Amino acid sequence: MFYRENGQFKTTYKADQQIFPITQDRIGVLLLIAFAFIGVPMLADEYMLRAILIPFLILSLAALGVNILVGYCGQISLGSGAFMAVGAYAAYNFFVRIDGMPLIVALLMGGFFATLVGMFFGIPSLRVKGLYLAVATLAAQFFCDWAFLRIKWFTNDSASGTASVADLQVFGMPINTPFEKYTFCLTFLVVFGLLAKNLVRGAIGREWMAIRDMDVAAAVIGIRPMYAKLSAFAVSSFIVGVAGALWAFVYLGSWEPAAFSVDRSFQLLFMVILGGMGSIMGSFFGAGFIVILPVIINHALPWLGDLVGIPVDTAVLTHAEQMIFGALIVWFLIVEPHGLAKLWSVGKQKLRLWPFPH
Amino acid sequence: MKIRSLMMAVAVAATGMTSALVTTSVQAQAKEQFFPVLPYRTGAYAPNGVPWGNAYVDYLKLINARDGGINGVKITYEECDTAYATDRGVECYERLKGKSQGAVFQPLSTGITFALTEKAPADKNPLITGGYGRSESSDGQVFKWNFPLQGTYWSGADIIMQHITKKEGGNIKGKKIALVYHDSPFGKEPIPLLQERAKIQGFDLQLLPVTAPGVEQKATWLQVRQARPDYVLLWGWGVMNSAALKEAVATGYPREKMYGVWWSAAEPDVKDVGEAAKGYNGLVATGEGGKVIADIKSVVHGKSKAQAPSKKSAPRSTTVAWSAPLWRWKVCAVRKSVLAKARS
Repeated sequence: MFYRENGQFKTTYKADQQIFPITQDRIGVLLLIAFAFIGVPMLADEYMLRAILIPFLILSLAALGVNILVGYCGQISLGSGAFMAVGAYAAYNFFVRIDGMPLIVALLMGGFFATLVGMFFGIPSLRVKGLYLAVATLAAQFFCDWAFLRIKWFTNDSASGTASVADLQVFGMPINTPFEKYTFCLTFLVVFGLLAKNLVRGAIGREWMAIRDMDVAAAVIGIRPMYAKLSAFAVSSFIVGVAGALWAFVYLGSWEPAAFSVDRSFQLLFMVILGGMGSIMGSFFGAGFIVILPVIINHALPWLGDLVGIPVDTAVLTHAEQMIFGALIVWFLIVEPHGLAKLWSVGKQKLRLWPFPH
Repeated sequence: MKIRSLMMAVAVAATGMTSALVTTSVQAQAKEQFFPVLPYRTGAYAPNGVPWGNAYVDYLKLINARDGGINGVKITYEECDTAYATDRGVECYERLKGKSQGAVFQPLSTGITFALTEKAPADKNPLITGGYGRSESSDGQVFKWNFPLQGTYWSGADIIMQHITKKEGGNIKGKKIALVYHDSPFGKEPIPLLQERAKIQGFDLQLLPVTAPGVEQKATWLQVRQARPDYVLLWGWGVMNSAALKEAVATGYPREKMYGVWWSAAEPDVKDVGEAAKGYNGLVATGEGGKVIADIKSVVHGKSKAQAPSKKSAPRSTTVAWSAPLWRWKVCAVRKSVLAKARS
């Protein structure tokens, strides 16, 4: 009844091509962003901000990057953790080695180096596809794990191999409290989300999707596979690299290579699969799902256990978390391969007709 | 009249009850100290994390049961599983620190300690690191909220080197000493001290990292076989220790020349190696003796409040490391205790 585009006539191409052609969507998203910037910091407590929302924002950004590569261009990658690590360590080196390096520039330089590494490890994608490419990108993961663990230069020769940063600030404003960190990450996410959305609905995004759907056909109609695949690797690694730098700088503060292990790569891939491949919205759904589900399980299971009088062990919680994840991933792959984003769009479609379905 | 008096009675009773409830809850709040427990009951290091977590909780229960809390302040606690992963540890910290002001954190992981060292001062939460953590924190001015108990890895490495020096008659110039370490902040901690000592004493230090969790060590022990070091210091944790001992047997490296830090002599790791561990040396914190452990057995396990099954008592050598004073660290051959365990 309320969600309906009847009467919204587009008289120009510009109006027809905007990101959200339906007025209700536009207002909804603007309200959501406004709420995220103003409402959430007022409502959320410190735990909510630090343990749930900040990881959610950063992992959404990373999932966004992975989604461009896996969801839009169809190149399966298991090296996302590695590209996060490259972003984190490159940003760290710029931040620590150059005096007075602005934080944002350091983070973007992290993204830039992740781009270079991503493109380098994307070269095999010109020859191999599918599972074989997944294995080739896995090489990136193991190479980076090794490099950041063993090459001391990357960690500024710190004896313990741990990199840490402190006293973050942007334009003289400190980024210390959870609220400041949250706003900082949110700004990054909004900017990158807008950029990504515009990229994927532009010419380059259409090239990626053409390559994903059938690369031979795409090549026949004049899309250069090398250009399309490597640009997808570049854009994806850039975003993932910036997310990695944020994860290290803002969320962890002090980290070791294990923070970007192959588990992280899998986690990001699961976010994309659960959230919805080839959907910007899906990245947010996937990240939200994977960040929030463990927290819910952690709170709900002991409560349920109390209800029936069985004390729930800490180990049981962690194991249950993994089992539920595994089950959900299998379930999603079978029942809804397009992920949560598909459910969302089905819901929207139904809402258009509500309350008078055909 | 009747109704009125009845209502009065109810009202009085209600006020009395609520006030009683309020006072007790206020008192309870005032007389409680929250201890977050960060064990790892899952993951590659669970065999060590579980007994430690059990012992920690048992000790907290003991304080409540035997002494009625710390000077009358009852201890409350909540667990959060870290799986020995830094980011999970940080998440647990964020989750539990809000429970009370000044929660005492004990992460049992040097990696997590590194991450929390940045956060603890801002939140004013003390960070206890019992036999692990950042060695610099033994100088209280460096990290004001870190409280290392019972020595650090620098003291551990120093004790072993002093022992080796004594064994070699005071001069180890030109000797080859290899450090086989867990490639993590934990394993890398002793390196600066050993490098410094190598400079002073003139021995040749060889660093052999083992990628966590350390199941695969063939390449490392091939290097040991080639270099034939005079001594091997083992800085391992969990499955890495048993794997190292087995590899030492396979390589034919004498276990008598292997020295482990206290974690590398942890019972869950070396006990089941049996014969292969024969001769292996390790630092130990404390044995099964001691009043605290006896008390845990009688007070906590006796009344079956225990976290751990009382038959297989949880608090063992390394698991109660945090309750033993520094002077009890000593180099001793684990041979006897290990073999006794292996036989029994």
